Amino acid sequence: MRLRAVWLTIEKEFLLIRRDRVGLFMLLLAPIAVIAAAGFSLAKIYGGETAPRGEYVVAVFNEDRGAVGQAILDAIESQPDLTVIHAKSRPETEELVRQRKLAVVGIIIEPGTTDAIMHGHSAQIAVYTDPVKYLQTIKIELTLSELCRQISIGAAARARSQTAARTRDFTDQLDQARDSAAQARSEAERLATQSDAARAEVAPKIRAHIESALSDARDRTKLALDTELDRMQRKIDADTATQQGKLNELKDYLSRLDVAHGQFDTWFAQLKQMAGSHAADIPPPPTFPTLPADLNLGGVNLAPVEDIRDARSRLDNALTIPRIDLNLPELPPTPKIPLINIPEVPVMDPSLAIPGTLGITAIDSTGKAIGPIAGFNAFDLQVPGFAVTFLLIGMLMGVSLALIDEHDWGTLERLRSAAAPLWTTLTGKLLARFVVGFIQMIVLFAAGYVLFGISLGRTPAALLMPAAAIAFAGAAFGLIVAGVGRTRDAVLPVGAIVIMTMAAIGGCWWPIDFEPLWMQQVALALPTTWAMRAFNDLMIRDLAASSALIPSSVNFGFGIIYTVIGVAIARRRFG
Amino acid sequence: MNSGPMIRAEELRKNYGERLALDGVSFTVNPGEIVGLLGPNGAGKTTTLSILSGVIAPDSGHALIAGYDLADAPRQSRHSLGLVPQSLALYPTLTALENLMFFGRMQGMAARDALKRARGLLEEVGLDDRADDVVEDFSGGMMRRLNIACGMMHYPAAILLDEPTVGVDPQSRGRIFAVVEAAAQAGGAILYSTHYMEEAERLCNRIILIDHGKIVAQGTDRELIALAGTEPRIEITTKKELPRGWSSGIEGVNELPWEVVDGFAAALTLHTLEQVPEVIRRAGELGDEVIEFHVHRPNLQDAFLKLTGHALRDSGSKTNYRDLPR
Repeated sequence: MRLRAVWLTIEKEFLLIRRDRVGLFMLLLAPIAVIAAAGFSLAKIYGGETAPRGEYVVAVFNEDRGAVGQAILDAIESQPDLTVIHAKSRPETEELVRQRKLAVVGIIIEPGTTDAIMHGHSAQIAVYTDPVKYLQTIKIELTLSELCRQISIGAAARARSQTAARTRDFTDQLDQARDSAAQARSEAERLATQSDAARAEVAPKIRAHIESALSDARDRTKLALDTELDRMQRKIDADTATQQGKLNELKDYLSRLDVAHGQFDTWFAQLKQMAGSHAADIPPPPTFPTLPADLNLGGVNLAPVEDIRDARSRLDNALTIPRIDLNLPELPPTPKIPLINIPEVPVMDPSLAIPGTLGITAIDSTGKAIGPIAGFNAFDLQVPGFAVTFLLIGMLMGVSLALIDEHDWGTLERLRSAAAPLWTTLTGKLLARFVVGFIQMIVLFAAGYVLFGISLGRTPAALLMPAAAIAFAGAAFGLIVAGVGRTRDAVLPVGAIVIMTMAAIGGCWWPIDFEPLWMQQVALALPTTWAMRAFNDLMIRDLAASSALIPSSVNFGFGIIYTVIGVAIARRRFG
Repeated sequence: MNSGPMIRAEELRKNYGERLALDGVSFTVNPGEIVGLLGPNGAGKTTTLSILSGVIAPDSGHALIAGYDLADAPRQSRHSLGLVPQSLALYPTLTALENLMFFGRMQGMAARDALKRARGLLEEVGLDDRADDVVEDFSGGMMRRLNIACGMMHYPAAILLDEPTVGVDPQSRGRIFAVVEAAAQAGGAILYSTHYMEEAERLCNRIILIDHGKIVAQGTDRELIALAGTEPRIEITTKKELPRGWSSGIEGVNELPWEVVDGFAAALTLHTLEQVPEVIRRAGELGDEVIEFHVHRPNLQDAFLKLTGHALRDSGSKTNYRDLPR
């Protein structure tokens, strides 16, 4: 019976919702309108691709007129977000921005940019800005920075490529030189080896030949000497024999003279002795003269003959050299070919040759680099954000105000007088509004997908989890508001303020990271925060479905707490 | 089925903070009986009906519907109860038929039975041609009629009507009376709360006069009127306020405590109807001009005035009351 009352209440709620055109508008069309307005307006902030083409007008004056300036100009013109006005002068560029306000930013490509870049110097692009258009200026500045970066990267890449090519050529040449040197060294070593072998082979032959020649010369010399010596010997021998006879006679005379000399000495001594005292008076005997030494006495002087004999003997000895051990001096060694040390040229790393460029690349949830940070579709934030906001507004109207209306109309009293306790009405209303809120979220997400191309994440079905959780928490929160507010006039502003605050702090209208840290911590006490965390994880961060488990659980927890508090308050208020 | 009173209040007491709303109220309503609960605003009528319908609980005492104590057997007692609250307890964006179907089915009726009963009731209250129109397009009287029909959808044995004719046109009032009388004739016990004396006199078999949370008298209209005496009454509205004691000198005339906010009025008991011209002439002299006057025989209002010392009037419109010294 009581479950039937709950079911009938749900049926009745759906009938009421169907008839409530204002409520339906607030549930579905109003959020879509607000989402569209917010999404298109704020797309610029989040860097998504929802901004129309040519959204930003820039005035450009190319004062450089060089290749780099033209490249910059071409790059600016190729940006889909930018519409270019070609200014004719620097003052006109400034005027287009600050006076006529036709352009968000004025860009001056300074003269000498090409020259500076070509010679490795830095160059600047001058920019006129309108401080009021800060966000647009930032966006364009980022675009220009990215352009400059791309151009720098391109130039560096080209230089790096050229350097690498030249390095490769140089390395090749060095390799060739190294090969040639190695070849030459090898050839020299081969020749040295051949030379050593030839020398080793020729030296004994030379020695033998020399020894043979020497031996022959010696023999012929000896023969000539022997012949001459023999002739001389024979002549000398003949002369000597003649002189020897004379000398022998002289020698005999001298021997006898020598004996007579002795005898005279002896006689003279005896004479002196017999002269007694008168010996001193005896005059000295005459002195016998000596034979002069160079007196050619013929055979008396035999010394040269002997010398000739000795000389012959010595010559014989000299010419009778047992064996000439020819000790030829060693040939100087084959000069060593010095090892040509051609240094190894390391393989040139282009990134070392030219300082590399530092870029940023985003990593997606699968760990894959996906290039520059791309921002996100603003509707990925606005659709869930405003869906949650209008869900809560729907709960304010559908639960809080509806309960107060039922109280004021007297239908609540009538139902309570019937066999339908208050809890059946509350349960039926909460369930109906939960289902409506859940369907509202699904419809708004579907509309967001069809109209604004929002991301539904890896697993679209996972979005149902946080959607159900916030629908439950929101419905239960509506019960609290209904119990606290005494009248419709009291509930409406207070409820609206509370809901708007919850939505704002919870990150429904802007990323919660925009908020100061203390506010982010306060936001943890709000279901909107957890709902947006789950939606952001699934839709923008592209995380797995499991990422929504904790935030959804927290919101179901909020829902349970709100229900307990709400029922207690409602029982006191309406019971 | 209980053969005794369908509605029984036994020593009901209720306080709202410091204010005593009900002080030992006891009465019964039998099957087929229409009992009027008559009293000024704030007398305790709505509190009594709220207790009897189970919407609020008494501080003490018992409320029984069809013999079942609301505190002990809420489901059985409420199943026999039909409440027609003072407010229009309807869903404005549902049609008349959808409202009837919803409340009927909430009382346990099957859909087919509820549809048949709803069609019958719509015809009875004269809304059969508007069955599929949303209620917010109805006039006040039509809403009142539908409000009563909703309370009677499930053939309740006891019907509580709280000021069911507030702000309705005469045509709707007649329809409402007819429906109430038909329900009584069908055996329903009807407790009819009102501060319209004429309604109570016209409709009720028995009337309970209640004031400041207490029953001051109950009985048939004749019994109660008899308590006020037999002298005719005159009520006069003048352009200027009449001075106190303005009627002194007219023999047999007694000034009654009476005040109307918008304009200046006075009430007198007359000894005979022949005194009317003199009273009007005196009032015209002292009150600048007589705007209107009304002469009538004693009625429930007079009885209430007699019993409580103050008037029974519709404070929801233009009138207000104050106790004047006798």
